[in-house]
Amino acid sequence: MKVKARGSFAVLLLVGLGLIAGMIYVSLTNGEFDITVKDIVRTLLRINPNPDYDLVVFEFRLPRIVIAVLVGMGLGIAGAVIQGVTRNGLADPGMLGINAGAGVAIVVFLYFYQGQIREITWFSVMAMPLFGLLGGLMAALMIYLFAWKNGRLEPQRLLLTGLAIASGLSAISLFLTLRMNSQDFEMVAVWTSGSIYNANWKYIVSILPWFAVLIPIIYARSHTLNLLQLDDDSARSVGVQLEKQKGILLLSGIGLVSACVSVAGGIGFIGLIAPHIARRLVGQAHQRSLPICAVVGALLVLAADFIGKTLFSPVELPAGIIVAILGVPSFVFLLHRRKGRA
Amino acid sequence: MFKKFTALVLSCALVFGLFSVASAAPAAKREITYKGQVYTVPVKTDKIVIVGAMESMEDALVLNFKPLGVPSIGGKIPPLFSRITKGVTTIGEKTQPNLETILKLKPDVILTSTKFPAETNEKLGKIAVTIPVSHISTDWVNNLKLLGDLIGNKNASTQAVLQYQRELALVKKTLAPKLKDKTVLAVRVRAGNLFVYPKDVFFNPSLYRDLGASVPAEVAAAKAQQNISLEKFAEINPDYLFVQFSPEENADQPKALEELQKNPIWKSLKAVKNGHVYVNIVDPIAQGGTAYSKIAFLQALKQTKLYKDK
Amino acid sequence: MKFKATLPALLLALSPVAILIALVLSVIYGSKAIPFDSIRDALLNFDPDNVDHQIVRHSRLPRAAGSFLIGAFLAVSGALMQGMTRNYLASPSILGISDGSVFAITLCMIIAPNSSMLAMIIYSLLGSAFSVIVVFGLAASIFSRLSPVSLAILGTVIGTFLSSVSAAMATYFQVSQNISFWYNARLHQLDPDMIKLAIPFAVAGLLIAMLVAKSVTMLSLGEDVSTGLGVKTAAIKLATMASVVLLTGIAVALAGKIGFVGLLVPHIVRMIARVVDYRWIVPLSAAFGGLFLTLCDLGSRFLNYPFEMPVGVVTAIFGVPFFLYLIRTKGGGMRESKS
Repeated sequence: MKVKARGSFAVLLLVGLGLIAGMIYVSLTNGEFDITVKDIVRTLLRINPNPDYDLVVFEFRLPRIVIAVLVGMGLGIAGAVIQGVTRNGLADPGMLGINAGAGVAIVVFLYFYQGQIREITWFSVMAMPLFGLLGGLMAALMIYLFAWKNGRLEPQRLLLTGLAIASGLSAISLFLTLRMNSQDFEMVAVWTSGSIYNANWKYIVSILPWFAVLIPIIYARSHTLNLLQLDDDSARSVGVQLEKQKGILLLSGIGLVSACVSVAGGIGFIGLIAPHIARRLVGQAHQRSLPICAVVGALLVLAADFIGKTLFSPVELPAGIIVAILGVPSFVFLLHRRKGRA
Repeated sequence: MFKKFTALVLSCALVFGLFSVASAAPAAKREITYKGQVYTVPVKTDKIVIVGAMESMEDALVLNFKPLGVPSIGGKIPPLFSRITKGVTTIGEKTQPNLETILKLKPDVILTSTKFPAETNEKLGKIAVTIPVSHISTDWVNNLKLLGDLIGNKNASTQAVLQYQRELALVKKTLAPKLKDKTVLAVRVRAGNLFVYPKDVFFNPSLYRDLGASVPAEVAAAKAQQNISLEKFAEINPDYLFVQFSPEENADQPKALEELQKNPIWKSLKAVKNGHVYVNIVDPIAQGGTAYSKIAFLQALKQTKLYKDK
Repeated sequence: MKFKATLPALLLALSPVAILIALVLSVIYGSKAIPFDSIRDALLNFDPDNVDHQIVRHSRLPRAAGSFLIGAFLAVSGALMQGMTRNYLASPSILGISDGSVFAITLCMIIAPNSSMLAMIIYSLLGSAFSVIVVFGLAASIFSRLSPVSLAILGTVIGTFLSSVSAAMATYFQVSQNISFWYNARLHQLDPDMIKLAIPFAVAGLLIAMLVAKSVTMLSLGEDVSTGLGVKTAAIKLATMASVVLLTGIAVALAGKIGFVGLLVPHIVRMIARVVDYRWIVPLSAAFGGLFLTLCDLGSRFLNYPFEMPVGVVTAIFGVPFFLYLIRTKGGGMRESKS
């Protein structure tokens, strides 16, 4: 019974990757613009390139898919890290105030600078995500500094400080948004719910380094994460340099989330649910649950983005909203299953 | 004699040749300048997609131009534009245009808004020549001229501007003395709140700059949309009041206004007591600073008690 | 020993004075300068044609009374939630009350944008009730016992769900900013009639709160302790929830989302009066909460003169620094409950 619940890790991983591949196929081949599968293959292989097809495949669809996968992975893993470090299954990367920090920075940007950018240069395209990134990192830093006391980083204090700073930043953001005209406000609303609408290769290049560096750092510490589930004293007695490891893990998680939020806005919930789903599927060991977290996260965001794009086409719904709508029933369903097993 | 004949034949051949070359060449392009930027556009086109720039939608209304694609609001096209949008494809919501739909339409020019993120405008630029239309109300003449130029009807836009100026002069003659030393205010009502705007936004340029009313201190102090309490409003006590309801509320049944009207503080306002409150005299979806809004506002003003009263 | 018992009593005795002063200030000072004589006349020699009198009666008084009441409601709800869940992160919003309200109001703005204020208030209450019922129903069917933490998880989850659906609808139908205004900028629009409407709910909620106060004290000491002391935990939890829903539901319906009051005031009370007995905490929270919000409301009239600042921003301005200070000094103090 227990063995069945854990499932063979390899099988699950393969199934997950297969599903992602399937989802990528669906996203790539469906859209407003009529383009057959054969044409897509030809465009990818550069046989008889057609400028319109190139635009659709390389500029419109592919960047979105890649960002969806990256963001999903990043948020899923960051969620697992935060829940692991704070030992609180309710913790979501959003609680660290990063989303609020990025949000305020974006609101400030939209309020003061929008409409003044005449030329479309590299900088003007990257300006918004850069603001978001800075805002998120600053908020995270503030929270970290406040929560660090007497050389110890207590999870409770971290969460609470995150809550306080997030509320404070939201208030500032609120004050500015109520003064905006409604079109700008709608843009802020879309950003806050999290959307992969603005996806391009520049963004991808800007966040890849974060992923390439931070994910290995986190994965290498899977064992530490496992140990952190014990209370602090037990963990310390087993020889874990507690504070330093917690710090590294948290900072990595924060970095990942900031990168994701800067390009995709505040997609909540993935960081909350993906770790739970992963744990149900393969158990507590982070060596196994982290990759599954990544896979689950990527799947969720890919699917949500596709649905959001297609459901009311040509009107698009932000991915973040779809995630919540889909995510909650799945979460509740999971809790139900646990009851049966409890 | 023979020389003359040869010269004639050769010149005909030359002209002929030039013609054939010209017609064989792809659609002629030219360069236009808008707000200091140069764009290469066809000599004349009606394959224009409007993305997010409601200002351009209003300009199209004035010029009676049917765009190739328009943004939707809540999935639908606002009835204000129905005259020019019969059978026109929607290209997605105002804030998130669908790039693939636009590509399918194969436009020559895309009119976007300066309020869009640069990233979106960059992507649009890959589909067709993209011109970000200014959302600042003082550019209304430039914007109208831009559209007129693009559709090859510069004349119509010039005429519209001239007509506005003529109307303005007329209305101003009657109204300016009435507005002198009086307080005039244009507000929006949303969720029961009253909002005032800076002097260059909404209908304020028409009221203060064009018609010469004096700018109340509160409007001068507003740097953006600001919420003002009824109490403060009572202190301002405007003589003439223009109220616009946000488009989501039915323009025919201003229920939210009824609530306000029951409030004794509202009833005490000079404008209310003298019947000088004008509700939605222009379609609430109109931005206020565009050619259409200004023209419509003037037309509507001529129907008001303020104008007609001696 | 004696000192401990007398401090809260002293505070409670002093509070009406402080409250009265705050209320008076709130009536005297507003964006329009009204001389003191006019105010006195407005109350004693009311002249319906005098604008100033109307302002005092229709704007200042309801606003003062309203902010006091709502502050009290939110603070009491917060205190109850914190006691019941034994977690000082707790505030009324974890039950999804405000999210349910948002959901109902969004639907309302889309389907029936012409509703009167009264109708919208009723929808808001229905929405709050709806979400609480959903949370409870699911909790009952999933968890064998109504553990506060599980309730909190479900509440947050359902709340997020409802608010996301609302956000989706709001974005699609372009009513997002309107909704934001409904929730964030309405304390200055309180109508005397609406306040009268609130009274029966409030009385009911406060009564229940006082009745369960003693039991909540025991609950706050721990599940086992309270069962050992003979507290009917399920019934008490239910009653507490009912009180919280009533009080918070009405507060959200009347004035939108005002943050920090429910979260902070109980802490301030505990810190200043040094009590753990909810029979003190509840009434003191009511007093302090009312006072706090009345003062914040006063601030909201002047911080962005001549315009209004949403009161939620003002409470945050005071609330956040204080909260951070609390965390650093008390940090990690309260018992953490593990699921």
